[in-house]
Amino acid sequence: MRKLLFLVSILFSSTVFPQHAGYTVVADTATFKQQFAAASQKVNTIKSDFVQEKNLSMLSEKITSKGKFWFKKDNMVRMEYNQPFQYLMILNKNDIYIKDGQKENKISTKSNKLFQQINQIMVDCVKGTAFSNKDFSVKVFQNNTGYLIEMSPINKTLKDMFKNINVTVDKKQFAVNSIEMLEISGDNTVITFVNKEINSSLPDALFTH
Amino acid sequence: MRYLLISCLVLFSACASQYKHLQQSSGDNSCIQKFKPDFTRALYYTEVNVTNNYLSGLLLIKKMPDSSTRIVFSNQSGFKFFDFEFAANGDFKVYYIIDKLDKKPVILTLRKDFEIVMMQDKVMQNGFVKYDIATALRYYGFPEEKGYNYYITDSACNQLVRMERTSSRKPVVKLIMQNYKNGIPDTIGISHTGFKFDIGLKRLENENSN
Repeated sequence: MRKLLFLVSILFSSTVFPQHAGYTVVADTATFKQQFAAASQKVNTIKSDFVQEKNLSMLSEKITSKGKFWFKKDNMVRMEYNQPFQYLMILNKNDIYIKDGQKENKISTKSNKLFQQINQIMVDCVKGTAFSNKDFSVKVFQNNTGYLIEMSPINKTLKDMFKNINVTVDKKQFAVNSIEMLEISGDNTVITFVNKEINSSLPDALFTH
Repeated sequence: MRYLLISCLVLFSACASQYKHLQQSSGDNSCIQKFKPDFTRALYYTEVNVTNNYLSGLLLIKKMPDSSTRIVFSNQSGFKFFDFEFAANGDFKVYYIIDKLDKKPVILTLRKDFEIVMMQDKVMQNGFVKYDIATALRYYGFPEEKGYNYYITDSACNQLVRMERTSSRKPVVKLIMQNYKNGIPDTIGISHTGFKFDIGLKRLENENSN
């Protein structure tokens, strides 16, 4: 009887807390999708600082880097790492520009499918169109203050790289708080956005080089 | 006939060992142990040029509690390129490597390069010492399956000038470790002579981690 109770309690707890501690499943994803898309419609620009933590689970290691992030509709992103190294990445529609120390590199996402997919993740997350990305199946969870969008890769290339990509957004503005990329090995990379400014004026020149 | 002689000379000089002129030298090869890096934990900004591909990112070298050393290379955004384990007994394990790099010669080359950098016991057996009078450099040599590993110092063994992995005749890889701070080199360079494969590491000291 005690064993049965134990089994039932495990079953029950795994139903209530399915995958993400503190979050419950959002059953009505259609409504969420509409709300998310509507809120994102109002976001024309985002300016933010970010902290990126790479956690290497087996090594008990955390590598932290910091920088600045800018987004402008439709799909222009600038990520500027400035600690502990200098690295600039600009995504502008179909092109990626990278400045790595003295080296400059331009990549067309049209010719590089992997870059295109990663570019799309980034843009989908900030644009609120994660649901329409065909490379992933998507589930939504919520707690009191925000939503967690769990994106599971469908295609093999991304499946080899990620177990899941979890995006958290706040309930007020549906602005992205963090993006967690979880690898099969248990290692993960979490990018947390802080000091966000929504819809401040950003010149196009920020996204050119 | 003259052309034949010239051809033979060219052929002969091309085949001659670049290490033939080194003279046997007395000396204790334990003196180079002081150059063995103390990779308790070191993070490097890393650039790799391989054939026509360029990769850059962060390379972490960490000594684990079981005395093995892990080397993990990922790009700036956190996408991992490879994760290797070098056991204290010389064993080697690939925990992860991206498809594009998952080729036996690439893995073997990286393994051998880092074994020299880490000055693992397995690449430092049956040592001998030679001396180059012309350059006043001392060669601390260790035989390998198909050549030698050389740790090359000034004549007093105060400075590690460079390292070389060689075939029987010429260098295959040239490596440097410079500007040691607390037993960890600030700069590491690995350059292959036979094909375009260069690795440059610059230590990140002002990182804000842990």
